[in-house]
Amino acid sequence: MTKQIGPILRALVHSRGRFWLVALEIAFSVAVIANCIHLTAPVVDRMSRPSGLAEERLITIRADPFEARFEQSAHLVQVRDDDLRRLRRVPGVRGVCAIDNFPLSGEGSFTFRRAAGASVDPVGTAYFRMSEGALDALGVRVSAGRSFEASDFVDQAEVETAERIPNVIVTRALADLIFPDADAVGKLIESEDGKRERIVGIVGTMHNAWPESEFADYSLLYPVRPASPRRMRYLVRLADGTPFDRELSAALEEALLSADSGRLVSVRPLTELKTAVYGESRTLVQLFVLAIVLVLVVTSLGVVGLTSYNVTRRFREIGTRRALGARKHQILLQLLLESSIVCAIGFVAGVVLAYGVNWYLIRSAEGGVVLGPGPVVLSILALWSAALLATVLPGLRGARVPPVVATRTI
Amino acid sequence: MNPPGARPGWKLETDALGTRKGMFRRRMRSFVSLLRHQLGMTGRSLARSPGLTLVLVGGIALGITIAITFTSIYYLLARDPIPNKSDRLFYVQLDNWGTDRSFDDEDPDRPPDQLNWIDTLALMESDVPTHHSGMYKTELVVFPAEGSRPARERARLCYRGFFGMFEPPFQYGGPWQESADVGPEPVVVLSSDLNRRLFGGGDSVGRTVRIQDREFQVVGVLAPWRPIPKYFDPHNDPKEAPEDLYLPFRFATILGAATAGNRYGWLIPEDRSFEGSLQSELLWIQMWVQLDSEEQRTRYQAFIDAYTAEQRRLGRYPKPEHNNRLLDVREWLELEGVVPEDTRNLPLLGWLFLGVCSLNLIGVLLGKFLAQAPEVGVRRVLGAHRRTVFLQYLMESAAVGVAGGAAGLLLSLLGLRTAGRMLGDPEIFHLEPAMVLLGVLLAIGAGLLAGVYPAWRVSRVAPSSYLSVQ
Repeated sequence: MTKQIGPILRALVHSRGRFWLVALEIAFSVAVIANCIHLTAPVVDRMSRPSGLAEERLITIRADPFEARFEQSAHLVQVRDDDLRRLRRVPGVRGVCAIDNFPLSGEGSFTFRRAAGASVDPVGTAYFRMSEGALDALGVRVSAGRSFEASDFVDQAEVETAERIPNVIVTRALADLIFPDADAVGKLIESEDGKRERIVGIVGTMHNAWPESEFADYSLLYPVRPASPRRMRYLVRLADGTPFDRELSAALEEALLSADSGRLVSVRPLTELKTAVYGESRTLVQLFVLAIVLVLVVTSLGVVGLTSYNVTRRFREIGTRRALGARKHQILLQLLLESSIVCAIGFVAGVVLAYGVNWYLIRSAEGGVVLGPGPVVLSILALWSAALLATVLPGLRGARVPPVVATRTI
Repeated sequence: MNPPGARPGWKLETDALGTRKGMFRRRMRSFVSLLRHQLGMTGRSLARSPGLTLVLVGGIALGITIAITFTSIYYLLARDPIPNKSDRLFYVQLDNWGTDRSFDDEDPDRPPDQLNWIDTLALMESDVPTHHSGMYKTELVVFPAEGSRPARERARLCYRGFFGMFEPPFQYGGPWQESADVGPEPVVVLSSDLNRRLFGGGDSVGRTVRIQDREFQVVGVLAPWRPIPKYFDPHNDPKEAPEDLYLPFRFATILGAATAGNRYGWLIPEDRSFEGSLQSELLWIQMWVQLDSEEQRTRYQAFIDAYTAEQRRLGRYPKPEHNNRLLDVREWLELEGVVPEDTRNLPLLGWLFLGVCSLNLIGVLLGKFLAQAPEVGVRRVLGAHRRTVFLQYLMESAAVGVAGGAAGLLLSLLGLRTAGRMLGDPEIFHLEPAMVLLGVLLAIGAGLLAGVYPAWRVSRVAPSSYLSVQ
């Protein structure tokens, strides 16, 4: 094998333009693919983080009142409780809760907390107000401390007048952030204006409204039944195996309208909100993946062109080698080796170019990260496989050159 | 050997015989006939191997598609959305933030980027700006004709100045009068889309529409309008469509219209309801002013500084120094980071992709042209210039570039619509004239550049080597 490289190299360099062109093309391809992978990988990582929610089973319901009677708190509370009862009775529903904002929706409430009495900067966290049964509906499990008890719950309107310190549940990530060295259960936290709350339980991962942010897993849960005259929100968890279809959607809507029709109701699966929230990232990833695939196709075409050109040009030479005893697979092997050499030269230049592009991107946009070896190696492997595959087709034509052509027309 | 066309002194002879005008006409005629001949050759050459031509054109079309799609997405977000007055429209920032924690950890000097209710009403008292408007978006319940269920619509509460500053195109009617801001009078401007949904399109000026619990009179209907980025309020999504309803700002309290955008503050009031927030330091309002001269700008800056100084004396504005800013459109979009970081990388990668396609084109052209070397040899022997051969083949590759560019631009249209659809609205990204021009230039450039080397190689073919065999 090594004996072949010398003559091959000389032959290749002899083919002048095309050889170097394909090598350069491969270099550009490495730069494109490596940088696309490099830019896509963190986005894909972010998108594939588990939300900790039973998201496939969750249905969101917005019911925004437009009638003046909802301004009366008594009516509002009565309709809400009626809603919860009626929703629970819809066949296929496993759990229901009232909640003030939906996770994974891009729309939520945000506040700041620190350990009570500490003089550190408070940390930002999302918060949710939720009615009884919310943890089960959401599908999150209490991993330390306890879940909410019936006595924890108050109505939103009563919160301001309540004297006691409210009990709250936080996510594990938030607990570890506020109390890095201690068990957070039973501890007090406070807002900037000094209002205190007691952590009674800790849940595992539970993404808030902004699943792509760095604070995606910081959530603070209040046992407070939401009641706002302008927005009513419910989360419905379907029993396993119940499909969400138009019929079920209509049944859920009807349940609310039969309680009070003075509202605009929209029923959407949580996955739909999630898809919209991740829309920008997904689009970007798809654009980059498209670019990677097309670069592989175009570069493969280049290699096909080079190989068939070489086979055509060296028809007689191949015939001579065959006549002198070279086997078909040896001819094919030689062509594969030739392509690999073109690739190798392209790869060396490509790595330099890839880092050049990466350097430029870092310089022109803040938040850039230095290109690691992973994407480079991956792009090289992908291109090499594509190039070998692209050599085989025209290469087989070369291998089939009959030895007899060597003896003709000299 | 001198080919017949290159007789020395030919040009001199003509000069001596004919007038300059006649010479020009004759040369034009010969040029046109040469061009026709060349184009015929190019066409025949491309038609001879349709498969290869498809690979050539398809390759460059792909390159143009990716380059133009990627560049367009960046360009649409990064461009100046209102170039004729972007340096005269200013976003107002008042530093009414607390001292405990900065508004932006990474930039402690940055004032918050919205205003509260009290300050907005106070600033609207100024008579310095040409136009000015506090504004925010909300959701309102709109009742169509009798019998059908109401619907939630996206609305913007603003002053008349909104229309003067951002110049949305009107299909029917126009903005409301200044008196409507003060009243406030129940008037409304509809988007083209909502006008179609409520009134089936057509001139609905003068008709009434029920919003929440009151009747509003339509004074204007906008033509389709989709500024990208949505620079007057890019907070939640700069690609978001503008609102469908525009109402006088003062209806905020009458309708109890809470913001549908961001709301935050350093001092959270006890009463977090909309009514409570009207007297609080909660911030949710965008404030824009149009200041046409440097003098106007100085006066307005003095006005807001005097206002915050007075408020500080009254016990508001806890920061010791005032830090009020007027940002023009470009500074504002830069501050808001309207172009996502990853999007900034798109153009370069798109162009590199085009580079790959062009290199591929060079390779394929080289193979194709050199395969015709025997033919070229014969033509050369028959007296064709090197230059003629070179130009003929260069023209062929330029033709490939033009065809690829046209196909690529059509595909870009498709690509941009698809990208928009993935974001929930196919109308988000469109093909700007500037991008069409760029695509055409890139295609012709790529075609010509890719053709130079192969055409040069084939024009260097030594005629003699093809004579001996024949």
